[in-house]
Amino acid sequence: MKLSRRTFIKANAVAATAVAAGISLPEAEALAKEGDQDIRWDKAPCRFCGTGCSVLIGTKDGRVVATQGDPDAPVNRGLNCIKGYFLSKIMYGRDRLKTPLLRKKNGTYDKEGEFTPVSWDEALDTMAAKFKEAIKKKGPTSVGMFGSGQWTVFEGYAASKLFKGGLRSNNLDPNARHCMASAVAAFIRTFGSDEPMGCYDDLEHADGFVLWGANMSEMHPILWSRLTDRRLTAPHVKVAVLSTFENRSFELADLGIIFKPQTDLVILNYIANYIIENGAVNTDFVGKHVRFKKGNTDIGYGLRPEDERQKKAVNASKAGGNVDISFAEYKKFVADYTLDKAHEMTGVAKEQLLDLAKMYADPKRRIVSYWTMGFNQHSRGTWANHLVYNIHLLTGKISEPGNGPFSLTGQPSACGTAREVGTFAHRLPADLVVKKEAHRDFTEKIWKLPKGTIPAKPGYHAVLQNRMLKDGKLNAYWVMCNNNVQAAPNLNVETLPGYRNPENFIVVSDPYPTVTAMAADLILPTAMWVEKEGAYGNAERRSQFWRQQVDAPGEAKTDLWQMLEFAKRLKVEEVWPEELIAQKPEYRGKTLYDILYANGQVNKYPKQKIVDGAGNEYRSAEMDHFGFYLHKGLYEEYRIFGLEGPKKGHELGTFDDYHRSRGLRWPVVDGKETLWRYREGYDPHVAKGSEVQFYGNKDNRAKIFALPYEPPAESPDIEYNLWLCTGRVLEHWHSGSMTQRVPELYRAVPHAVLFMHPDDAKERGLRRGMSVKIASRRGEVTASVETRGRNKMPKGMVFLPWFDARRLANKLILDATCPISKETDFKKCAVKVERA
Amino acid sequence: MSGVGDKVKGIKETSRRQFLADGAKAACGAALLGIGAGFGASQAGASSQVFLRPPGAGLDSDFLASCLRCGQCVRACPYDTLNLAGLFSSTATGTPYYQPRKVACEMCEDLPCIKACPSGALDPGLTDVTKARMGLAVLIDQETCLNYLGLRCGVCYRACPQIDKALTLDTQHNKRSGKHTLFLPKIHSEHCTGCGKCEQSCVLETSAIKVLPRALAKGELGHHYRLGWEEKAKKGESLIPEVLDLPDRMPEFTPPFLPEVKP
Amino acid sequence: MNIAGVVVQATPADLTAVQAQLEAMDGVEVHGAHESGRLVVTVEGDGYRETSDTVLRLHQLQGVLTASLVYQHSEDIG
Repeated sequence: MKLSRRTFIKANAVAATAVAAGISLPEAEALAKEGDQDIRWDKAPCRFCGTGCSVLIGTKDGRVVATQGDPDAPVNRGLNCIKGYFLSKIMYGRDRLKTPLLRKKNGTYDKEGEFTPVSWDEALDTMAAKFKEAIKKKGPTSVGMFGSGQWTVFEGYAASKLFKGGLRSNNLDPNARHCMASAVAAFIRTFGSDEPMGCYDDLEHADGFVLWGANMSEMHPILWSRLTDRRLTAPHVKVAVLSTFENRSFELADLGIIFKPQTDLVILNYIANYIIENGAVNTDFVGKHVRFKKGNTDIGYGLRPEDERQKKAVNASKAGGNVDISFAEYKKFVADYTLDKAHEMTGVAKEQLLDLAKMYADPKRRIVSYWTMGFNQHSRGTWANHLVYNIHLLTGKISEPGNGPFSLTGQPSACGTAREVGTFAHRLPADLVVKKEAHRDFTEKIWKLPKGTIPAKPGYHAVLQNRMLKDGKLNAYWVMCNNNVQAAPNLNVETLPGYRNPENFIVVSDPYPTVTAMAADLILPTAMWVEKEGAYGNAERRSQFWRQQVDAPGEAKTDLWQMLEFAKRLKVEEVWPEELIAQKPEYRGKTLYDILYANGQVNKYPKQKIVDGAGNEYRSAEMDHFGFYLHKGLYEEYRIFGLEGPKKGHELGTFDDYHRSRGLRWPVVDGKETLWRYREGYDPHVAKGSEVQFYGNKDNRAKIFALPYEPPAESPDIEYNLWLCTGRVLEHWHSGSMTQRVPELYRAVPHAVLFMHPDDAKERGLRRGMSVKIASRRGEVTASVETRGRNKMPKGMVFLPWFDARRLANKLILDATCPISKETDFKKCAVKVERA
Repeated sequence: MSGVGDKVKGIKETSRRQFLADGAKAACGAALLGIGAGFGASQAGASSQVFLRPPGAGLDSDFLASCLRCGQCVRACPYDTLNLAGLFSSTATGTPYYQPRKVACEMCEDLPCIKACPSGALDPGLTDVTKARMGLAVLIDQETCLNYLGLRCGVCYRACPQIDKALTLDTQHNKRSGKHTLFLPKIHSEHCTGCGKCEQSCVLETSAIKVLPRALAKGELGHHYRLGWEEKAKKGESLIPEVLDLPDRMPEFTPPFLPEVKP
Repeated sequence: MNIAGVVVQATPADLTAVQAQLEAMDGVEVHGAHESGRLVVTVEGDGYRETSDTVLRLHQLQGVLTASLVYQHSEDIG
């Protein structure tokens, strides 16, 4: 019998009530049970952190009614963290946006108007007019987009084509810039190829783990549970945790190290020195597979050029510059970082420093280094990444089971979308970059665009986009799948002014009225997670696909639909110069939609039935609307980059294979996944007899960089006398736009509180629970003081989570970035705290 | 008592039926409102018969004997944690109580409730709130506790103001998944104040961890038995020194990758 | 859509009368009754306020001793 949802719920209500009343109503019980059997189960990855846990989604009558961890998923084996447990609720917040909203006064668009419901046609027409107007006035650099590591692979690819190939603007950057850019920069500079060489299987192979600025216990809960299991079941395993304050991961640590902010650079160099001094260098490995470089120093802080700190920096404009050196020169360079000096600069006990150095130096101990924002959000983030590679390369502990440096990711597709698809301002798909002519040529060939379409100059990165909006150089701007007004540093001074700059038109696509949406001129209601077909790539290079499970509510549309419908409103003549069109006269009179998506490749796959292994049928809203299998077309075109592109090692499996699998780790070659890259036998691209080949570089060698300690951009002084670090808590994800709408998670942690050392509180006349004002040179927020609880702060340092939209923590943060990766340092700036 | 009238769910009409309806409005209305996002079902179960008293209340019998029912502590509570028992409540009318699932005790360092108490029913000798013993948290349902199921929840643990003292996580290999860890919440009665932040924050529809009056919650070991490992730790060495242990015979060749064993 | 499951306890003597009153109310259905006076009732409504008010009205009925909310479900549905 087919039940309506109402009948089913009522049957449940009756069954539960009958039990409570002690009355037997067998009919109702049977009905309730039958309802449960009608649930359709299908797989999808969790849409929170980069771990990539798989869940099974229970759908009934067009609604996700249940979820469970997928017991056969290799990553999580049926487990979830508390955010994954509540996944099915994130789509059903009461304030879901269901209609486009345009600021209007007296019936027409007005920057100072009120949000007014409009049709999709009016929304997209207004938007297209604004983008065309900007391009006409100031050229393609006046338009841009801020995307996401939560975009699906398809969405990132479509956006990259739209902006780099269609609008001819490289001003496309993802929020992964705030998250992973330092890891990306150092991976590319060291290995010539982005992303880790190892995988999660390392967790079961290593004899030691070192966490550098990664609170895995709260931020990667399921991986932490695996790491803990390894520690418990193999007693010889050692865990070292390094941070600027004591977080939940210290609970398991054999070696818990609190160091003074920024001095991780000193510890890393000290370890390299210890390894050399104590004869622990793997000379065979280093001789065959490594070469040495010295990087430029005094490289500034990525601040505005008029900032004094920027003017003073000798190499501010040549931050990435470097020269070849010998091993002897490198040895001399790190010899400066003695135990005494390291102890003095870092505040860490000598025994602890020695213990840590010995862990790495011991040739019998297989070691994995993990890091996230502690390294990446660092004014020398790229350097910190380099320095940990140095240690693994010196000892040869890399690219084999249980040995390697591994950067964890914070977003579900920071790897799969932001990095692999290349939605950064300087990148193209599969490790290609806009700067290289050969890479642009290849991309233009695949995209069937005339030579010279893609600009050679990298576009504005995240922080620069905000500055350029404020300065009126970036005028038509689309924010999709992120909440950057809450996330970005120094937002009162450098972000909001650009959004509200009368010269600019800001579009925000989001499922919910976030802080960012409320700062926009046009809000587009957006489908989320399983309301669309998708694909994510997690931190271990595993790409996971899912089918559309339900429809989006109201008039909400997917990001793909929005981009393609927008492209239909842009004629080639309106956005390209005549000399470019002249190369491809057949494009005359066509729209960007025609040339980018209906290009004979993307629209190659006709409408088809989407069926899972059990025979259930699924819808694709885009297939119905556009008349072809859009996701498959986008993916199969994108896949050519990995198969035929100039950079090897990025082969992906077929679209249909991914839909059938629980995710595959690339490179996928000859029907096999790759678990460890660059190592003979594990990686199909490594030549026989060579042991190891870092084939991202032409000489197959990885680079060790000599890089020193340099101070942070801002340190506490007499007035602003505390360090501030912002970050996350387990219960909430990023800006809380999803998790704060789950009542149970809201109840669990309703507000962000300021974690502070009890003595620091006492000195300021504060008590636990008191409301305080936290002020930096850039703004202030209020929060209540917490001197107990999950984080134990050292004296002189406070921590404030940024998920709470009522207290925008990141407005306090200085917009200083790593000058190489352009990633902001959210982990250290100076604040003062006083009674509110 | 008029001063606290706004906090007591008042009797607006004289008819008993109307009063009951108001009570129901409080209970049912709250249950309906509390559902939040329109998803899922919840069991709006019968209200708990357990009443927790403010800090310093001591044994219930003593407390009831000395409490004046003045409501001063309820008025002093800055977080609206404390309530006064109503006419038909199953505890003495006019006495203060709190239900942690609704509002837990925030453990104010300056103990305003005790300071407000004119009778000494709330012990003025209690000055350190961490020494308060309002109740004892008990992980009452291991079958639904997400941590016992292997999920990474631990919300109660991180909500605990006495984290790592009153509430710790014991680790255990997850045999089912084969490669993960179970983080099992464990309550330590010598540190648990019974504030109820754990019960309040539990993400389940019905909390798996609950605070009970200590007399109900605490087991008692047989007086004859000592915990050997604790006695050894106390003494710093074995209680029986000088026990002979011969070395094990091992092959002279050591395999190169023999893992280092921690003592 | 809101659906609540409620156990209504009536005085056994009034059981039939209470059942009749319940059945006359909008959105209320009786699914079972026991001679001890207990009834299994569902209350349906579009908004939670409406459902909540109906649940509260159950208490006021002649012959009803208590009405306990056991199950509650709410969601937006077409």
